[in-house]
Amino acid sequence: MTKAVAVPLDSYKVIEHAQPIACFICNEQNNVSAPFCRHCQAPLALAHQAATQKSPPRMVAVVGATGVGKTVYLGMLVDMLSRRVHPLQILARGAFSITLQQTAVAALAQCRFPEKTPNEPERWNWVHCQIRRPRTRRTLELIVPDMSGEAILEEVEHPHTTPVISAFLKKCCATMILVDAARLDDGLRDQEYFSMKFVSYLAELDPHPKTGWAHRPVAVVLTKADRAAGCRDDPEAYARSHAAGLWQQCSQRLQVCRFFAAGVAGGSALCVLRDGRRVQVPLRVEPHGIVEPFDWLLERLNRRKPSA
Amino acid sequence: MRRISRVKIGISPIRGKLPLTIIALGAAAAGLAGAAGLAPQLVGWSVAAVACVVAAGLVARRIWRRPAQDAAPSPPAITAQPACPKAHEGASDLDSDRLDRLISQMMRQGRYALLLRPRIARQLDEASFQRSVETLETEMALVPDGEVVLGSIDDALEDGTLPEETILAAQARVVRVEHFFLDRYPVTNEQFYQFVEARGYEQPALWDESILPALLHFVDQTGHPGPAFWRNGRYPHGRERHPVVGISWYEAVAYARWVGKRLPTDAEWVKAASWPVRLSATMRAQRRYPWGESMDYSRTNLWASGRGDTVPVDELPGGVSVGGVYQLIGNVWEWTRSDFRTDQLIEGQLLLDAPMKSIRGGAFDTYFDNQATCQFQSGEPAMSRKANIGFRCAISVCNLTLVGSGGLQQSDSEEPLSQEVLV
Repeated sequence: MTKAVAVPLDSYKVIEHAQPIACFICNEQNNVSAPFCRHCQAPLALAHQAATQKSPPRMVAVVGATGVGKTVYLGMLVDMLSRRVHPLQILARGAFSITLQQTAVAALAQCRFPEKTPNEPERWNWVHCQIRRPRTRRTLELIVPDMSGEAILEEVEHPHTTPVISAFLKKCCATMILVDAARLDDGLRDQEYFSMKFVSYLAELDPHPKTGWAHRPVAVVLTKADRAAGCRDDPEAYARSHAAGLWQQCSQRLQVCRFFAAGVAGGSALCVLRDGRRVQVPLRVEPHGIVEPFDWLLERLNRRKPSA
Repeated sequence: MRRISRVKIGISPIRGKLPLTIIALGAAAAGLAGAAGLAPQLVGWSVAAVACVVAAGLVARRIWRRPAQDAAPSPPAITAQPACPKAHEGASDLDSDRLDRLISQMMRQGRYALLLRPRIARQLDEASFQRSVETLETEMALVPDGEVVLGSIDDALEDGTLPEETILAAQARVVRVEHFFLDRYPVTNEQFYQFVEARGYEQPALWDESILPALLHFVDQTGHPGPAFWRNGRYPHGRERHPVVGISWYEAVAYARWVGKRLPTDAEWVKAASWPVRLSATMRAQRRYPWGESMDYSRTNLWASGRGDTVPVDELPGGVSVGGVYQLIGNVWEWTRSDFRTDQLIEGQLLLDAPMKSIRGGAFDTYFDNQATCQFQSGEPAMSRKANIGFRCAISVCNLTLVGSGGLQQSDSEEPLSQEVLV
């Protein structure tokens, strides 16, 4: 006996849903042709890229308050490691992975800092890259997003308001917390409070006694170190004296933590634009301490098995 | 420059001769009294007076000697005043020897430019004069006078040529520079050591009056006067030929004065590096880099060269300028005499917390090629003592005597170093 079946005109949707793709960040199912995850707004290109890899990429977060220099740090890091001067090398996977580098470097070369990263997750730049380390045959696949400082703060203060951040941080194997040393030097403590909140948030996000954040490597990078006297010589001592609360929080809650100092601009000044806006501009670009924290994190990651 | 050239350098020669002078005066007084046939008592008083004077002279001599013994090698005893010993005007053998030693010491210290100052040069013998001129020619490059374009013109340069309308569009300036000599190499650690050893940090005449209170801050890592990254008044081992770094603008200026030179102006620095040529009434040629139009990391020491530190000043001969000046691009930024111009940005105007001095050339850690061109200017507060900023010296031709006695004598007059030209 046969039965007639009415096929609707939008049956193509059914076919697409029959081949869904899981978001690499939040694991929610998505339309295979969608550019972003409908749940967390992470780019699905990450999932497509990851599907072609033998081993799943690992994830590292770079966080910090607005204006701390996350975009500049990440952009310079990727650019420096992709120019083959350093033995540590980065190979971008996918065209989308080069946008961050391009944005940051184009601005810095013209003695400008890049525009502020938008708050909307679908407008963030993500970097998926392959990392080759000296004296190591095994390559490492890594995903690092350039997240907005305001969105991070919103998520830290009101958890689950930005699902992509919590989902991403749960899966991260390491993090870099950027702290503006120039503001610390000026006696302003907003950066320290932000970082303390974030460390506290991490500890609550995954409190597992063996695999939780207490055991994952965390690099605290004091940025704009060129504008903070003594910061480059001994970052840990600088943090102890200028951000005692953060130092205490890190030493109590994190077992694998180290302080670094980094700087990109050799000098900077305030510029009054033709439209009246005042912006900080770099007078020249002389990167210092950019690779060291990343190298340290990779060294620690090498000792750990991938959790994802 | 007039002020600098008249500054007394080092200890006055009379200091060492004072006790001998007192002794001589006492002896002369006693001799005169005896010769005049005065009463025996008077002769006795005279002898007593001579004895007192001799004793006072010996004490004074001991006192005067003390600082000289404490001070390792004392600064050379030369003065630009007419009181200088005149070697070719019947000076004794002793004075002649002393002058020779002094000249040798000054040559060793790299202070040959002082010997060629008109007032001093005319008192030198021919051999010493020739030696000074030869050293000048070896250590410094002559940059001819002419016009140079300053401003953000790198993007406008096409194969090194620059149409006149582009200069206007880029808000660039045309500056006329008089001919001058520029050091072929940046000042090295061992050259700057001569200055430190000669107690240059303790000679107020070499420093701007306003900066004297800050002199105590210009110490090395062990608290001795000297560049920021030295220890115990010495440069790091094996870095004698590396450019001196960790010096503020004021320290650079003081050293330049000590050797009888000055810092180059912005326009002079760019002129020496980019070697501009006027092709026609509406077209100029001006190099982006001293060696040509495109970056070549084998000719310079920038971040991309991968060295990560300074190199000796006489390395990288491929990067030499047309005039024979080394390392104008890369290795270390160079302090110039000029202020950092805050009106050069197309996008707006810079607001500085404190006035900055112009630095040029890029350093071993300069990341972008376009920030290490002949044209690119950056700024740094004059008190900064960074690991990637050094300097080289210049001197105007008008401040030197370059032809021996009987020939042309240059005046010691002040001439403008550079003058802006209206396009």
